[in-house]
Amino acid sequence: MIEYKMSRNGHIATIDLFEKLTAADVPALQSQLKEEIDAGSSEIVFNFAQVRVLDSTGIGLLIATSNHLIQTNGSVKLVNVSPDIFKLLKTMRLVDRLHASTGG
Amino acid sequence: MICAGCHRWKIQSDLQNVDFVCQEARDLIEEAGLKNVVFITDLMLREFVNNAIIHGNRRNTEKCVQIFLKVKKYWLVIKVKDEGKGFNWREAIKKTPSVDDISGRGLFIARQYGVRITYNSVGNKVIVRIKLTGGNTT
Repeated sequence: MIEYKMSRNGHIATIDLFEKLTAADVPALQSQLKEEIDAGSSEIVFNFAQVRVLDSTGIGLLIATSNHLIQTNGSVKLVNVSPDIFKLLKTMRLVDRLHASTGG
Repeated sequence: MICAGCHRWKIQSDLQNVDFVCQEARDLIEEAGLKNVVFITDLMLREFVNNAIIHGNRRNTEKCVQIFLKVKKYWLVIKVKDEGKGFNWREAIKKTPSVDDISGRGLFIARQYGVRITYNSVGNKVIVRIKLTGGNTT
């Protein structure tokens, strides 16, 4: 089961993920993200500082969230991404799309 | 365990079972001193076991997924078998997702990392080979 902590400051929602974002975790987080977007969050920051595993379904959730927010000039941002996950996103040509960075 | 360096799992088709297999595999690979392939092995295991559960067995928990892992001298070999009808892997393996696609990235990731993929003819069993740089010296 996914563990995460969510906070909101104005229109920016921050999600601190723990350990992983994988196919088993996506359904629970998906509904929470929908609630945040419906509540007015236009920028969602995913803090990957403690994430060591991201699979293609997790990537799909990030893309779907980004696709949704772009329609309202919003965006997704990934911060504190590990070198392995950053390389994965770079390989998938998704670094710019998801505004991913290894720093905060 | 059935032979030196061989590891097998048989799990019900529930995504919550994937973590257990991946964690054990991570531990085994780290113990074997192969830390440089831990990330890609975990990722490939997840991709192919997820595919077997979701697409192969259609999440039917009465059906199982069998997983085999073996560390050889130059390759780490993973086999994943489901009880489904298979799929048209010959087409799927060629696809390149666009940046907006929300699915269909698993096989593309494998290709990008230089992982060798072999399916049986119907597509319900896959063999994944990950190159061990410098070989396994354990």
